[in-house]
Amino acid sequence: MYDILQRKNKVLGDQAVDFAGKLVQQSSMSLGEEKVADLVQAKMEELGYENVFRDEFGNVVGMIIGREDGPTVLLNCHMDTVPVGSEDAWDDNPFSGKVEAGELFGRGASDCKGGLAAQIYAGALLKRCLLPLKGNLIVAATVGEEQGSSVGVRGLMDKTLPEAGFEIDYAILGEPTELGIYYGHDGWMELEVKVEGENMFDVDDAAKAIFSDFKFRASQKHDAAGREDLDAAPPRFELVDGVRSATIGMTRRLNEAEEVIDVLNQVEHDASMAANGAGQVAVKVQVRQEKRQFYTGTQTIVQRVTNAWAIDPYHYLMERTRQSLAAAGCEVRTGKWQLGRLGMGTAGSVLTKEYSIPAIGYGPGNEESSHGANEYVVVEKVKEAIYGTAAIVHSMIGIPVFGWTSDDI
Amino acid sequence: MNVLVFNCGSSSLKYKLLSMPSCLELAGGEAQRVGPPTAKPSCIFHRADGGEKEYQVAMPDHAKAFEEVMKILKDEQGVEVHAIGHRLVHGGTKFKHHTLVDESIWEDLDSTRELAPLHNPPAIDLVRACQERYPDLPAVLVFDTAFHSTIPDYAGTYALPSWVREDMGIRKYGFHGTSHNYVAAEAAKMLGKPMEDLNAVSCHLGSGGASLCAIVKGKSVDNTMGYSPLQGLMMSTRCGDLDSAAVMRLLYQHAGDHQAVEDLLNKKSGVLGMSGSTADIRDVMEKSSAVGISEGVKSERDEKSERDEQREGGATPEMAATLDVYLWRIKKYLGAYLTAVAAAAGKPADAVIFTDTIGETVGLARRVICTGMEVFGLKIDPKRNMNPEKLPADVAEDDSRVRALVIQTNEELAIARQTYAIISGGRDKVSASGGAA
Amino acid sequence: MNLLILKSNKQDLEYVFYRGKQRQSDWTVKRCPGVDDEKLEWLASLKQISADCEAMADGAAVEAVALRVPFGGTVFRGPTLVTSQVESKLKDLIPQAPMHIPVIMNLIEACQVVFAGAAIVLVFETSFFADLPDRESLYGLEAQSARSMKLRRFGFCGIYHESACRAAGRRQREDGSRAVPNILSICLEPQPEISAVRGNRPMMVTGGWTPMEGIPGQSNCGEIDPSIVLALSKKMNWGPEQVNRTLTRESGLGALAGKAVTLEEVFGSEKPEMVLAQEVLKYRILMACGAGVAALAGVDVIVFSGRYRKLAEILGPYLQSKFSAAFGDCQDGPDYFVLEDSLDKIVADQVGILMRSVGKQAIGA
Repeated sequence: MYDILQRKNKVLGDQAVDFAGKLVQQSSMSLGEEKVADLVQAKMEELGYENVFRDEFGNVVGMIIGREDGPTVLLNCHMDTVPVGSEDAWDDNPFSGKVEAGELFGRGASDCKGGLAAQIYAGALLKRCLLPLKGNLIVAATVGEEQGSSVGVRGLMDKTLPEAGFEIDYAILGEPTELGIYYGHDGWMELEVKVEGENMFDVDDAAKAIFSDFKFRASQKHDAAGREDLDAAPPRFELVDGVRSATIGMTRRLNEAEEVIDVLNQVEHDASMAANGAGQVAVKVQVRQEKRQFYTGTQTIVQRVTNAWAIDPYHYLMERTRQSLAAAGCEVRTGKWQLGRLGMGTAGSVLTKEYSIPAIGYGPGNEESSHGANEYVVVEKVKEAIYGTAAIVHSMIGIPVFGWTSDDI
Repeated sequence: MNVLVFNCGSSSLKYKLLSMPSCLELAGGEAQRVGPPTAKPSCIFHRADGGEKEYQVAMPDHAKAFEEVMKILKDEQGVEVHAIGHRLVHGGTKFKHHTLVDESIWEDLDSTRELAPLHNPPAIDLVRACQERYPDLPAVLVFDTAFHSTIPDYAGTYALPSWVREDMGIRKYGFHGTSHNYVAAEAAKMLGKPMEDLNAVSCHLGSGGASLCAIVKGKSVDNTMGYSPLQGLMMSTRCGDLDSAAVMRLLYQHAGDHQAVEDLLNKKSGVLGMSGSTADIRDVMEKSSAVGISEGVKSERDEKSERDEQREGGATPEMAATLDVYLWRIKKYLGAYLTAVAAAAGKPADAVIFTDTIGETVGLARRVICTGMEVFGLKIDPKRNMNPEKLPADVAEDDSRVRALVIQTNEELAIARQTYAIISGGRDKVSASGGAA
Repeated sequence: MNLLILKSNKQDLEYVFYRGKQRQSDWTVKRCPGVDDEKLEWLASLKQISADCEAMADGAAVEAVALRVPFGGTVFRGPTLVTSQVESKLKDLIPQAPMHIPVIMNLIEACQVVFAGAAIVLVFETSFFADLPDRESLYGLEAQSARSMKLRRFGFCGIYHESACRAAGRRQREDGSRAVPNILSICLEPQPEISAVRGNRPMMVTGGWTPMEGIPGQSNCGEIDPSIVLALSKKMNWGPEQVNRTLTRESGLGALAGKAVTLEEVFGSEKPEMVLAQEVLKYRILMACGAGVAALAGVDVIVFSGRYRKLAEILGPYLQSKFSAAFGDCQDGPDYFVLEDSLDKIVADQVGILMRSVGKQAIGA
């Protein structure tokens, strides 16, 4: 069976890289993914997916329905990217989508358009190989992951899939793992520490004391891997109806053991202690929220928090992924995302924490260049990701072919 | 020499005390519910002098059970034990012969624990306990697999990569060796020939496990069981031969739960799994008619009236199918082994031997299996077969070139003979039919 | 009738063309272009094949297309003309042969496009064994598991076996005997298979639920102790896919010989590494034949077929001498002969018979 997958992938792989390049060439900031969504929808229809549609949030969904009932596997990648940042830092046009020296270059190549192309073509590969499924495959290209805390995935899970009559049993994210099998990561949250009082000087003093204290903590706070754990922005001051207020923005890493409410309480306590002696002020801490609008026009509130998550490294999904990749002759390596930069994350936290769906990551991109300048993805890894993802999906919902795979038949 | 033979189960300990070389049984019995406390108390049922007595004693492990048995023998019955024979199911490749216990065996012996994880560990622990308690009492390990150590490579090798065969030790080991060896020796006696001239197929058909053994010049050259006791015939709860793709499918369906699949194949299949109600083929036989099996191809009309007959007798299609599959497998293997024996010996087998519960007591099974085997020179006498007056018996027609012998197995006696032969070191040696290693 | 016989292997189409009873070509491989869509691959190749056939037939079109199908379950009991009902029944069989049936269905669709006027006939390897007696076809697995898997034994060289047995019957009649012959049919393909047949009714076969069971193949382990699957999985911490790869691709005669081999190479060499492979194979064939003799309560003739049928020169006398020893009383072992017909000849004959029976123009008429 793996011979057949590999043989067909020789043709599909080149097409997938070409498609990934086109995706990179189209800019798609969070909640502005419309043109990329057009490309994705057209490609799914061309490749023969069933039930290809776009939901009210702008997510694009395509399905391959099995011939028998069974579990439903979700392949998910986001269509949006982070901003380019300073163009001077880039060696070339960040939207070139060029392939050179075996690498596809451009914003989103690694996170996550290479992975998206691989997942779309993985479903196509299974179809081309005529391998029947006992269960369903849903490929969902979602919006608002980078700067929207996975609002697209929430909409998909809250509304889109239930209305279509599907429940997800397992999820595979195409986020950058360099084809490792990743089973979790730390989280982060953006907080607002609000200081209020009638005496504007008390408020000023308290806010500066709090900021200074947090900046000091930030300079001390790096985890064992040297990743930044905490960052704070200088206070913004306002005067409304005679009441002076200051807001200090903070970004903080969340580890698995931490609950959002406990962190809020702790930060509030620390801020209150830091403000002590600065006069009569009230200190409140909350998760930063912002009003956003999907490119489809639907409005939403984005909570700026991504929870830490991990599944059991010996979970059935992990075991089957390891076994199928080994049988397919792929490298088998497990781990977790490092998330070197605060603010990075995946939809895994939403899927596992909020919907109790076991999720893993398996994608061709690399964390190192994601979100940075000169982002790239290795083209051969995109091709292998198609094959590996197809092997994993088949192990979960393919009708087994044991006994039929000898050369002698 | 009084030889005490132990046959260790996971929660039981069967024993027999035999006076050798006369083979007289002095005592016997079984310690039951050995191990953690159960609803009923643990006890020893002891037989001697024509009677049976029950002793209720706490036996948290086999070592304790052993001590209690020795106490009963010595203190209650006043008999001495001069040697111990231990039955071990699996000797792997390290133990190709029955072995005297000494200091050098322990590492190799412990390495066989995994080979038969239900049977070997309690037996090995018992061996150790006996040695520790009675270091001067000689003991011999008698392996079920030892008789099959002579299976040649062409029969014992699976077509698997060399690392699987060599590093994992996967080859055909064969089982029931003690029984096959014993009845072969008895058969040789019946036929008036030395064991080393005997060519036969031995059919150990128990109410639990079952296997056939091809014997050439007194040595095993094949056994239907293989790497494990699972391969071969369909048994009371074991499936026997099965397409490996089916095992892989089961492993997939049970999400990698090896134990669940192992239990399914070993404890929930076979006669029990097919019939849906009983693990004993005799129960299935009572409810089914075996008429017509292997007597040529039935016409549709024959099959229809046979089905009606079966239904009237309370038979179900499952019962009929179970019986058919059970007997058919034995018949095919018998044909295969009669061919293999003749191929190696250059002439037809001398005998087919039937033994153990089903082989000894169910004439219908013997008849069905042997019917149609005239091409191999085997003709069963229906009258003799259904009513053998006493065992051992020859139930073949007078002009049958291949004899059909029904011989009671006696594994404890076989173990005692092996033990005596090894310990006595050749003096007062049991005859060759007692089987030397 | 102009008959095209097609086989799909892993990446190509193979075909042979008959014009009447005359074979016009050897098996020819049509390498499929690297187009991404399976159907497009077939269409492109079939169009080329169609052109080749027309050239061989002086411009006449292909009138019938025959496809060899590895699995037809118990539903398909002989060569079958494709209809929508047949396609629907084939679809139901997909879970039992998930790698092969979908490919065949796709190929049928493509043939319907390229050979629009032609009859399309399916010839199944398993048909001959559709009526295998329950005592042979059933396994001793727990009933519910067996039912859920539709577990039963099949043979997978039925096309050869059936033809071999027909030839044996003909020979017997030519010798003046009206008895139903007991036949051991030995199909020497990369996965050898042996069947014990009474007349034309198989009583025993070495194939299993899948082609994996039975006599070891060139890369396939054949029959092994079922617990070995669990032992491998446990010891190596493997999933079933990994075990499957080892047992179906890395085992068999190649594993015994230490390198990839064909049956011919195994018998043709006296190198030490081949000796074990040879001995194991001969022994397993002998055992299966002995079982077959027991199943039939005798044997009249042995027939060899398959692409390695020439090995009958070695195996025939071998089996004769072993059975002579087994039967004793100075009896000779059973006669043997070789079915020289190739697979395509047999398929062509079977399709011809089918066409005559449904009133289509006969091949050779």
